[in-house]
Amino acid sequence: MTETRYFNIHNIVKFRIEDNSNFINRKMFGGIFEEYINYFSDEIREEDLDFIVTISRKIKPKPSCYILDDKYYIDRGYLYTEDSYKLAKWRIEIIPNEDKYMINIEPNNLARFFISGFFIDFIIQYILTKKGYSILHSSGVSKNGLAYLFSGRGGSGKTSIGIHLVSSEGEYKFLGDDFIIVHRGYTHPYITPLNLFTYNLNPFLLKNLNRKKRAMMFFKKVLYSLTRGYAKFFTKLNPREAFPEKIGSKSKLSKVFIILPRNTKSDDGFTLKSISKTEAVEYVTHNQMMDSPYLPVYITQYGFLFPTDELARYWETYRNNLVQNLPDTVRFYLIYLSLSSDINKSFDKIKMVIENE
Amino acid sequence: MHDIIKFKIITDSKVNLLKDINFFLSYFETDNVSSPDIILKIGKFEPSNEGCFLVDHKYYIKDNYFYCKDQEGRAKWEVEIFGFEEGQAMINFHGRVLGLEQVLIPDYLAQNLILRPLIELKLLERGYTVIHGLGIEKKGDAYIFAARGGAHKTRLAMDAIRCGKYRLIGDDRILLGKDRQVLSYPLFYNLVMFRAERLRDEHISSFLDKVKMARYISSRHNRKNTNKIFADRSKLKKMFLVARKEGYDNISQRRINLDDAVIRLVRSNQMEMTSSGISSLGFVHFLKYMLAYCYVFPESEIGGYWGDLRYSLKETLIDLPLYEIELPYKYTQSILINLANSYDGGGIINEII
Repeated sequence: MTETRYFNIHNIVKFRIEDNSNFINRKMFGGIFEEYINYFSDEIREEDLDFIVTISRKIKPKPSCYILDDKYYIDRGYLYTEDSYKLAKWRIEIIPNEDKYMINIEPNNLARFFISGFFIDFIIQYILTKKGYSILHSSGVSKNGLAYLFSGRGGSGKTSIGIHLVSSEGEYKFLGDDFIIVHRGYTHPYITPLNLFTYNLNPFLLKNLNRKKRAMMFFKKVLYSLTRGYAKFFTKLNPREAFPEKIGSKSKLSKVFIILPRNTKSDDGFTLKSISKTEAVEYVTHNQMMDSPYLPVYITQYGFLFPTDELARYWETYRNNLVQNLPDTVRFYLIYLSLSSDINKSFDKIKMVIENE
Repeated sequence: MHDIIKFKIITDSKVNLLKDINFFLSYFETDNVSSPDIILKIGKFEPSNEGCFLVDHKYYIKDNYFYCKDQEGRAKWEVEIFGFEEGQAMINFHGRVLGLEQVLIPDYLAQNLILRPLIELKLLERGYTVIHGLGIEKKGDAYIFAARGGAHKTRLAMDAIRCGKYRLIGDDRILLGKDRQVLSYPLFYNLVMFRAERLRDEHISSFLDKVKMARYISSRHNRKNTNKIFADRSKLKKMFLVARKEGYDNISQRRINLDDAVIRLVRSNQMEMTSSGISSLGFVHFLKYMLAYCYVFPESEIGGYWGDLRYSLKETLIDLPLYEIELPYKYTQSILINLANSYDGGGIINEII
């Protein structure tokens, strides 16, 4: 039986996910919808949808495509491929239909875990970019209508700093932990469930975890150690349920911090310097490019055949949007953060920079 | 390599059954090199990754230096690169593949994953670009068929050699210098020699053929004979961008403009840096390493690499006739005949048949 859900992100991106996989798979290997749980919507008219994702049981490439590397089936505006990550395997097909994209995915059981992170997130970003918005891989907080973003790669402490500020004194509101939408100088929150692992768990979050989730987290840590890092599963916590009073709203972008962690043993664990907008755009773009592992590769393949198509020029558009959407009034900072130093001390220093204006 | 770049491989692996496959760049092997540009050391090592920036919990990066532990499918490795961006490069690599490859070709992974792409970075510094595709030569003129994988490159190469009118520049890589100078870049050259000398067509039919092939490529050869089959220097005459199309029986061809061709060639090279060459080990990794390095040092040489490549290709290919070709799904010998017709008005059909 098909399970269908509609999603609406701030009336900017609207989409539908249809899950046609069988009941047992759905129960055992989880739903695809949870990642966007905060953007559930009533039925949306077909013509208003930006894209439709269908989890199918069987898909195959359409006939008479170009075939690259024996596995990418490409035609103008069309792409099909089969791919895998560890034990997860999938087939994916992207078909543009009038003004919307249709994405068909046939995952094996394990691949269900990755559908949102590998594909749907990127498609949301793609649609946002197409509509002139920017999306920054960062966490964010707001205070008195001003927004502060912390851009970083995994392990940079961007989630921790966001949570640290929200749980500290001073009326900070949470804007999101993974992606923040920016348009003409304003930020829109984008709240998805936090991915918790033991290293980014602070007392404030622990307080908000129920007993079952705590136990699951312990179990996952053991599994991680047993498989020597091969099986890494996060525990989800939805900020909207855990601390609903602390969720921020649309705010004016004030400061962007780019965090680079460092494994030095030296004592000056924290260096902060002002950087230009041009430099910041480079950091943010590279961050984004590293973030989605698969679809950008498919796009590069596509670019071998149709180099001037919208799809192939995605990163160019992304960079141009950033230049437009980040006004010259925004201040940009680069932070070198030593991993061996007292991280909370460093966070307090960042807080001082935010509040010294 | 054509006196442009010198590299040295030091390995601790003892078994070496399929030498030419294990060292797939053996075409460029010499007795000795002084002051190599790249040194690849294969074996256990202690990383010097203190004081690095850490990206994604896993990439250790500091000025001109890269280290990471990585895994994909059946393979696991640890790599350290000094001189990633400039100067002499030194690679430490320690890795394993779970499977037959570990026994037969223990050093292949290190070379394909790290050495080959690093050579491409260093070549561009010296003004040479690498094209992914097939190159054949006739009377000093070079014809390049740039393509992604699975576009009949190797079969076309072998049939072109067998017809006796062409020599091979490379069946997967071609080196392009200033003024349209084309230099040979054969991979697995003994394998190509064997196929050219001993097989009548590309179908390796019997078990005996396979044994013969294994014997041939694991024995020592005289490098003198190679110039019958390989063309070291030639001049680029025409370039084609090739793709295979399903449900398609003809060959179609049209002119394309310089800008599009250049972007397409760059995309192809980017894809090459994500492939490992070992089956079931799909999405890897050098491109990610470059990205991680650019993320920390956006102003670096590596950050400017793709832009430089684009510029360099554009300089070289300006005013050159560039075509796009669609090839049928199934390979037949007539493809070569038709291709030949398409650029030199035929004349070799009879000799092939």
